[in-house]
Amino acid sequence: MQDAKDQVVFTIIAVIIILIFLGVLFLVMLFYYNNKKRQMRKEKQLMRATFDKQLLESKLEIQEQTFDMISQEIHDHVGQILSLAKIQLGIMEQKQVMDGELMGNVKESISQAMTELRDIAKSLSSERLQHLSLEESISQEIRRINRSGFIKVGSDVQGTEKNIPDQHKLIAFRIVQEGLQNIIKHAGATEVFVSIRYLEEDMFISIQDNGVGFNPETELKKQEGLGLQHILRRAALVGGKAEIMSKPGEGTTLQIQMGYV
Amino acid sequence: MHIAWYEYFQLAGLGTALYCRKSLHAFSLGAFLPLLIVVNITELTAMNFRTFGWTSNYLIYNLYLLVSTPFFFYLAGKMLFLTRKESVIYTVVCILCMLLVFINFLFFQGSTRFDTYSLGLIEIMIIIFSGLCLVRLTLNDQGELNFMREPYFWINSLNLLFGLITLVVLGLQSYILINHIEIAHKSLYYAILPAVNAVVYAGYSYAFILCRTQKTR
Repeated sequence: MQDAKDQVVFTIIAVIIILIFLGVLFLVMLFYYNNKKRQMRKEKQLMRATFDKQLLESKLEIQEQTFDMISQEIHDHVGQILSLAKIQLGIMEQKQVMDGELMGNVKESISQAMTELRDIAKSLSSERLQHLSLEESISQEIRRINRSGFIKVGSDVQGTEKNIPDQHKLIAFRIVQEGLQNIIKHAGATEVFVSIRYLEEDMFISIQDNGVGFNPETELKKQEGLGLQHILRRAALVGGKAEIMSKPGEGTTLQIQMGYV
Repeated sequence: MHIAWYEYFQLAGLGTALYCRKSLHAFSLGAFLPLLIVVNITELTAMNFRTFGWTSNYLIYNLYLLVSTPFFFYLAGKMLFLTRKESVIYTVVCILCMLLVFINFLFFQGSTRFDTYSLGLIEIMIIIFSGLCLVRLTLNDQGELNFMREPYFWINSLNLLFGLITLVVLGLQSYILINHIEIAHKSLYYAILPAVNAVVYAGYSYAFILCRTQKTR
């Protein structure tokens, strides 16, 4: 009789323990799931914050470079043209005669300076870039460089431009702009070729020059190689990839691969 | 008047609920206050039933089942964040359960025996609703939710565990008492339930304090 009672007690307690175990297991699973969810949310927030920070840094870099570019363009082009106009006006003042031909030259110089300023303004406006297609923005930049006469830039487009997000378009254009500026400043090239290929999933942009070339690995390690690092980082920021292929004496090719989303 | 040790936890629960009553309302848990008053009155009366000249306290517990169940269902409904459609289904289920409890009280097990069928049904419903509340709480997509600081998590976890234990112990209540099923020379019924009650009401008190520390949901 006692044995039977013991068995009942044992069974009841076993059932209670099993039920408690199942209940606790259920709670632990919910707890674990919730913690995972919170952890994932935190990681996502951290990733977003890092992305935003990088984007902001990149925007600041672009802004700094833009200021440099404005300063350089004004000094090298507009400044020179206006100085020439000033000299021409000085000659006219010294001669105290109204020289028709000289006056015509002054007018031309001022109009050239105005065109230069307009071109600079166009290439800098992000809003304008967003309204234009990437192909149009790059073509305008190429025309501007060709007009300056420093270097000859050719271009080729394959495929049709897809719907590229504004952020991607802006970054792709700024990379091309910086690549072209680097060539003008450092490559000593006479010819540059820009090629754009629109594929189903990605677009490829390549900028090839016949300049002096360099060792990309060494340059990227240097502090002065920051411009190249910015190009690589900006491409990565929108999920793309930039590659610099160069050898001393053999020119340089910058290849950019970027998705549409 | 005799007061069992676990009843102090129930009284503490009532005291804490009174202290945090505004926060309880903010968390839609205001119904805990009348529920705990019912619990305390029931337990104190049931513990001292001989003082009133009664031969058993089953009637008190049966009445407790009838009175407290709507409060439990109401609270579970609030914690489930039901949509309009779900709310209709939930109300129908609760009304049907209450109907069964009443029918059992009036026509089957009656008032002189402990209504184990009613208790079993109520505990099963509480287990299901608590489980659903916990799943909803886990799957909800609103911001950060730290379970350790979430009153709903504590209340539903305790209800779930309490429901699982009482389903067995109170479901077999008559069998345990009649057959003198004991553990350590103490009826299994009296060995387990007081401890479980103490844990549950201490947990409730903690959940009420959590409501107070978190201003709004």
